[in-house]
Amino acid sequence: MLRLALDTSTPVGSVAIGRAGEILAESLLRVRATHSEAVLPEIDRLLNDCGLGASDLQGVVVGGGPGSFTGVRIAASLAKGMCHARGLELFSFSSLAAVAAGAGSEGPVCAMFDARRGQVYAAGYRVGEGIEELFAPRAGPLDRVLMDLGEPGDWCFAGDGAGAGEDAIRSAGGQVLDPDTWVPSARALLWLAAVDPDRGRVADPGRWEPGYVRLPSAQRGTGA
Amino acid sequence: MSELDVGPFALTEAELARYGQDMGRVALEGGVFVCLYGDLGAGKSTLARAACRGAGVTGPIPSPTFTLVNQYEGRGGATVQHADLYRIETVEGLPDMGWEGLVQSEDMVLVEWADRAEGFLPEDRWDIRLDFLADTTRRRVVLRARGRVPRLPEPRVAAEDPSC
Repeated sequence: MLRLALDTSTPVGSVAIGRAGEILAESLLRVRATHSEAVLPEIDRLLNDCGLGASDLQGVVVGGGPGSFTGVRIAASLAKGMCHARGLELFSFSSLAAVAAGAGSEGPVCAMFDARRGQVYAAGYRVGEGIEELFAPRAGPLDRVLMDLGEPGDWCFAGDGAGAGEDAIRSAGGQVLDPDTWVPSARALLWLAAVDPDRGRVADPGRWEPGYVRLPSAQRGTGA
Repeated sequence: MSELDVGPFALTEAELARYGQDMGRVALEGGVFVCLYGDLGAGKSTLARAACRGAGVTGPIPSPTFTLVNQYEGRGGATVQHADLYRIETVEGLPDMGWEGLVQSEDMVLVEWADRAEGFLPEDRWDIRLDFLADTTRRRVVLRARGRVPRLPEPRVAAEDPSC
């Protein structure tokens, strides 16, 4: 079951090829602006390096956001296009789940991306043999997310949102994990598809759209 | 970081336009997300156009009612995004118009009918609410700066009208 995984929801893009718990090739792309130009050639290069071609692939695993509006759509379009053209199976997991899966922490992990203009995207997971979602991806101001966690000191935080909010997280007692673990990695997506394929399987890739995260109702209100 | 309403002010159309220019100038510099609320005819478009002028936009500023978002070049080459959510009936329509991209941009963003995006508005923003008054030559204006944003300019009028 040879699969390609990709995530471009944050400034660091990630591509990997693997099968049955084995990573054959992977790479990181560090320039957000050129995700659209860089990803496809990188997929070609990785396949070449492995002596494989696109026709050898059986599935695509995509990080479905949340994250950069443009970036999430780049990975989604590529994944849908490849599945359509080659009749491949599509799997999608939250890019926040990919961060948690790659964080290497045994306790609860709060994965966070910077959503700009005062907000973060956040979700909570516990990772072991598989992955358990403790709270679903949401958008909101960092202090609200921390408040809703109850005891932030029980959690580890990863992702560029955790980096941006590092001071607030630390003063709330939380531990911010090493920046190396902040990327939603394609390697982690391959792992998720291996341990929990049913959660990620997309029945109809043509109709699939990446997730859109709304604010919790407590944060609504137009004010003024 | 106080988040209190400022106003109300009772502004004539000329005062509203002059205020819009002041507001637009600061909004461009800070890349502020500006939400405009108010019924049809309350003055949102007048205020938005004036804000675009204040941000240095030259040339025509057509209504974005049908295009949903218009993009202009402001002072110093900075981008000004002008959105109108009137035709967005439910929040389900937001993804297709590129809402998330507007929120994530560092541009100055003007959003008319911002209440249609309730629940999806960014934390850092200016809220400007416009209402009708018994004196039909004036509009009631209430301002609020939320989150980490530059100070929201106030209208250059003599006094607030506490009765309005």
